[in-house]
Amino acid sequence: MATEKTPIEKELEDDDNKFLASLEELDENTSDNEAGEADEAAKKEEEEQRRKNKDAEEARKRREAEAKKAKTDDTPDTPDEEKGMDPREQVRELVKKYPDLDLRELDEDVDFQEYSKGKWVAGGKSITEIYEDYVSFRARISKEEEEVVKQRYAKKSGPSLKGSSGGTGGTQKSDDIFTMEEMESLSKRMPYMNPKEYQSISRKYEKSIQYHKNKKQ
Amino acid sequence: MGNTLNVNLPKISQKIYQEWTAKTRLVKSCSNEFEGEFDLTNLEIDIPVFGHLSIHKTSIKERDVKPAPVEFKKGSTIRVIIDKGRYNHWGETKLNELMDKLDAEDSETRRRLVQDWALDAEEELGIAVAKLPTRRHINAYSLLGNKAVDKTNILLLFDILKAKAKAAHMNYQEFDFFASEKIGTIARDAQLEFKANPAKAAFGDGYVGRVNGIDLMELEIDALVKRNADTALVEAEYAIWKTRDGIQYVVPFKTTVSYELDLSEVLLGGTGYQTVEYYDFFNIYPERLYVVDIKYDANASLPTFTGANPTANVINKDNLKAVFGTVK
Repeated sequence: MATEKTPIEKELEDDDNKFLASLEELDENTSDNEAGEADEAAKKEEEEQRRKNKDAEEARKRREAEAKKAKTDDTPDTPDEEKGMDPREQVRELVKKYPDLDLRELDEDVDFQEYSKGKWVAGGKSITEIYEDYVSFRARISKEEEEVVKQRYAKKSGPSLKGSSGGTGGTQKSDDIFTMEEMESLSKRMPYMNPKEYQSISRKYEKSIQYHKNKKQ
Repeated sequence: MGNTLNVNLPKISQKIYQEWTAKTRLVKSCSNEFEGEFDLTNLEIDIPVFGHLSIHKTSIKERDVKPAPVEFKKGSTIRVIIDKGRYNHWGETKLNELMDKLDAEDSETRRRLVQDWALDAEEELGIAVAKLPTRRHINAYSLLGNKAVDKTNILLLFDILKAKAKAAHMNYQEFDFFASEKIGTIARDAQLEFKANPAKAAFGDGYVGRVNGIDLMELEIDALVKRNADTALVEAEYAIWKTRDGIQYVVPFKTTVSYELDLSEVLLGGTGYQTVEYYDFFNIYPERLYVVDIKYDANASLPTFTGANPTANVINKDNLKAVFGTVK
């Protein structure tokens, strides 16, 4: 698989080329030398060149080691992806498990943001686990059923609100709750209700107020 | 999108109504039925009138069984005028704060209101009954031969009560006897057997038991009793002998409303809130409600509610009407 070279890799390649060129030059120089002063000068020059080459070789090795280290530090995602911790994959898993969940609603919830802060990290809990923990935490704090808390993040037109077959998401049925419009109309009628009439709707009415109140929060 | 605070308001008024009536004994024992919707303009409402079913008779020899119109137990309704109201202003000008105070399960504000309204309603109704004209009184003192009620004649008193109901062609078992704690003490002194009526016992506080076939309920309306100056024991009282429909106590309108507050009332003005109930009580069947004048000390006198200040012995009742409502 062809990959684009990083600047460090390019630098290393240049160094290699220079090194090879200098070796060739050295070979040519050695064969051309004859004797006397010229020989001594050539020897010194050769020595100097070897030293330079040695330095260059060491510098190259050092840079190569540094490049290798940097590459290791820059790529922590790769092994996590292999473990199935890709955030997108996690969200897909959450939606699959809770089809009624309104992600936007959840995302905009300040309490959830605060709760999940610092928790959704590589190697930590998955978003599904965080969501489930949050629901149970919130239910415990507000002394509500977990299902009621879940309803707060349910899609408005989701199947649970239509209250038909009791799907895997919410279990709140529309039969148990008055809509806001029904509540408004009942509240206008309520001052005139006789005790029996009020008794017949009071439980459902109270439950509906609680439901709509929670939904707004 | 509606507001949950607003839809909560009338619910709180219904809750207050249920709670204060539950704390009463006399009011709770009255029929509270009404039909249709309260006419806020004319302040009118229909209340049911329970009549007897007709008995259609024929001669078998003539084989003349004609189809009769279908009859329901409830004979008809009668239109009444609602003329009384009770209300409370709230010291909160913010609706959500008021709701927090009133809506909580253990709301202290609501508890106080409920207590006050229950006491007031009991006293008002009790006095209204005591003020019924003389022909509606059973004067036990004179009927017992100008004698105070004691353990020697208490059975006779109970017999008189039963006889009054029978004389008016009614079943005395439909009646309840509401009296102070004194009557129970005398009945026990006379070693009368107290039986329990589970339905009445479940009905709520105040049920003493069934004595000589009469269901005895203990009332706590101090305006109806005369106490000894030293011992504070009851010396005379107005007791009540009634059926459930002997009094119809209706509350056809109850809500919490907002109104504008004047700048002079609250700094910068604002919105005030008021919990309101429109109510009245009626005696549609005179023969199903009696006042029983009882003396436990022959020299004692009964409480009075006449004169310049008819509610002189009622605490904090500046404008208490304590009279039955009128039928249109």
